[in-house]
Amino acid sequence: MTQTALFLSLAQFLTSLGFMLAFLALELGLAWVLLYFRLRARAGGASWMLAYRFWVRVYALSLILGFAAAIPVLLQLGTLWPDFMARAGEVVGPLVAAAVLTAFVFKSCFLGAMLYGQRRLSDAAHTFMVLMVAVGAGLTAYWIMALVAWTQMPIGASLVDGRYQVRSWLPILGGRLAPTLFGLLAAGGLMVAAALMLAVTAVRTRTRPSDEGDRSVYATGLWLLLACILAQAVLVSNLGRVLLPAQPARAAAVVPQWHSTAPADLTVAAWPDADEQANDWALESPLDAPDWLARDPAGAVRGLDHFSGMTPPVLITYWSLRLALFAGALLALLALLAWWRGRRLGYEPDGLRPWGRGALRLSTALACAIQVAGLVHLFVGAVPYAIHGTVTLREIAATPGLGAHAAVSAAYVLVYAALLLGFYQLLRHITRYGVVPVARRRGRA
Amino acid sequence: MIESLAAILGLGAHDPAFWMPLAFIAVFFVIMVAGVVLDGFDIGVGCLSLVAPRTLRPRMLALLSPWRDANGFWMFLGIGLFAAAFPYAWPDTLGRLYTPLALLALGTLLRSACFELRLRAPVELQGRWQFGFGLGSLLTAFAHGALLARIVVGYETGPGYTGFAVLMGGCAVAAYSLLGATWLMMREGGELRARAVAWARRAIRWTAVAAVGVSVVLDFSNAGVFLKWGDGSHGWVVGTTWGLVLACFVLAEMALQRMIGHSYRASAVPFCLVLALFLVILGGLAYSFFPYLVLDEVTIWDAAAPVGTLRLSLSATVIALPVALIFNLWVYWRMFGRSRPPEPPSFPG
Repeated sequence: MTQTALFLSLAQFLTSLGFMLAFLALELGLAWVLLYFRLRARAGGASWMLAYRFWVRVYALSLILGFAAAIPVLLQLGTLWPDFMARAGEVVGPLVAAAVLTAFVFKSCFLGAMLYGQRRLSDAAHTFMVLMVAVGAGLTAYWIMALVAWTQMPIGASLVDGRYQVRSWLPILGGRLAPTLFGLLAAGGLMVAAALMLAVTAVRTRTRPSDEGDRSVYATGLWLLLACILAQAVLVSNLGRVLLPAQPARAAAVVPQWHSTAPADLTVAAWPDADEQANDWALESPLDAPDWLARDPAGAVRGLDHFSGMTPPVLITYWSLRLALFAGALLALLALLAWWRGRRLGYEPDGLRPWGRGALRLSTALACAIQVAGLVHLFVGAVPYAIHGTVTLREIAATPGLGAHAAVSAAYVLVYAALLLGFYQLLRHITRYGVVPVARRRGRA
Repeated sequence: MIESLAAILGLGAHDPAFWMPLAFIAVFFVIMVAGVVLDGFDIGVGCLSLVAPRTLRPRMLALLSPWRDANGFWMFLGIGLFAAAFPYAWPDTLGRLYTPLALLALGTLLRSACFELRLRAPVELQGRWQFGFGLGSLLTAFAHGALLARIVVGYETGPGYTGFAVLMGGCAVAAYSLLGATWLMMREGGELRARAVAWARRAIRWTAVAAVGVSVVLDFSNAGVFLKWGDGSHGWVVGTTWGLVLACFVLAEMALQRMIGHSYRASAVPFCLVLALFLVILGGLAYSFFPYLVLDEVTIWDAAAPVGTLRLSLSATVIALPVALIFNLWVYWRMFGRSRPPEPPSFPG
């Protein structure tokens, strides 16, 4: 297994997984936003129905891409990391099956009725369908995040003869990490959905006067964006407290603490240099080193040289986190500004200035950047482990021929890029021209 | 047979460690057959949409629309179940099939994404999504054939085996096209029907190549399978299978020759015959492989998860299966016969 092949495998798998998780998160966020729109519409607001009709299309697009992207992830789990199932099948198998069955049951019972059956259902029944779709999206995502959390912190199962055996499902499903990761995914999806709502409203009202629906979406988006930023900030600090003590190498890379030293000052910002194994420049705070940094019995802080090479790629781990935090801070500022402006305008998007519209579009890019950087940090920071602390990626990796490996990876990148472009194109199209409903009747064509 | 198997394994026939993997492999087989047959006509129509005249393509895809959601889910369900029930078979099966499974993943991804995006795209962009759907179908069909070829030769690699995999991939495209074409000629009249007959007549020869090729290679590459079919103790199985395969091919060819200018009443005959053909061939393959997942190496009991996990997964399946059954009966209810147009919506008041 050469370094190049391992890199290609990891890049291929993380691209697929990231694509799937991104669209599942957006789908999850939009499902709950749609439920809110539907409930408000039911309480008697025609404007909310306008909003629902438009955003259900965006929901459908992200749902399509999220579901379609699940197949490559599952197959790559088998082709790229074949021994993963042999080692951890007892934990992973039921979780995968639970996710698939949940998606299947909720999709087959409720999704068709929600998307295509509104005319044939009563108001209450259709609202119930929207609720069940949102619940199903949440449950499916929870199984997946429980699986991700378990690979980051394998609790509740013990390794016997090279195979994990489940001791108890409660810590695997409950634990401290799984709910946090699920919360982060849901808040991230809601955040991207909120930012998208703001940006689309800003673009739509540039070329035509706003209607009631635009005002409803604008107000909801502003409040939701603020709430999500707050929620993610709380969840990220919680995640750090749980994950960093359990993964000392990641913690050392986050600082970055290159060498084991006596209790150091906390590095707030640095320009790390991987070749020199040192920081070219560092800003240190007078506070003591935080307690999540691993120390040896003598009290010295463990640096990256302490882990005999079992460390994640320092630069990616470091910069992805900083990028996410920086983009988060910027988005928080933007959101506060937009919220303040929005309140002064009475949530009337017609009153937005060109720079305001530009800022709202920028907020979508920032929200996406935060989520992508966060995912990169979560997964790359766990390298070289597939299951943290016990199973490395290298021991479970397959050894495909390098030529085929490179060709397949390139094909994946092409297809994902084409699908992303298609999503963007369709989003731009409906933003400009509105939504024409799609009909689908059982057994008739 | 059940008792003798249990005796060989040293387990009681009522021991969960014995019958649970059996139950799972039965469910898995049903899902696989449903995936091949029900997703199959869909794949076939997708492949044919690449060669159909531009004016017919939208209609072909519209005919698939009511089933797309349900069709796309079989493979998903199959992999989920395979993960839950047979995790220890993954390194020996999926781990050895890098290229065909990558093609399968790309094909399925393209198929499920492009079809739905096309439905929601403006007219001027629909062409490229349609092409994506066709390309995805072609990749999926080819990958199915190549997978089968790799599995029946016991995952051997080498130039000859690669050639066989490519041949089988091409034949699988033909086989799915046959299924798709016969389905189309049942669903729709006019030009599409005439063209479907022409497509089907070309595809059926290569389908026969696939059926014979895969059987012969499986027989001669594995002594156990050869004995199972050739030692005469199960003569009736061999006779029935080959008799049915031959009858289906001959009758389908005859039906296709008489198709043009015939009444609509008999237009379902080729589809039913091809369906029967697929079922018999899949049944024959399952009979050859049972009880192995990898011939001579991994049995379903070697690969099965421990009983506790199986029990958990089985209870989840038992809850989900009725939903699947009812839902699918409900969805596939009008799969046969001529397509009926949707009724216009009724507006109250």
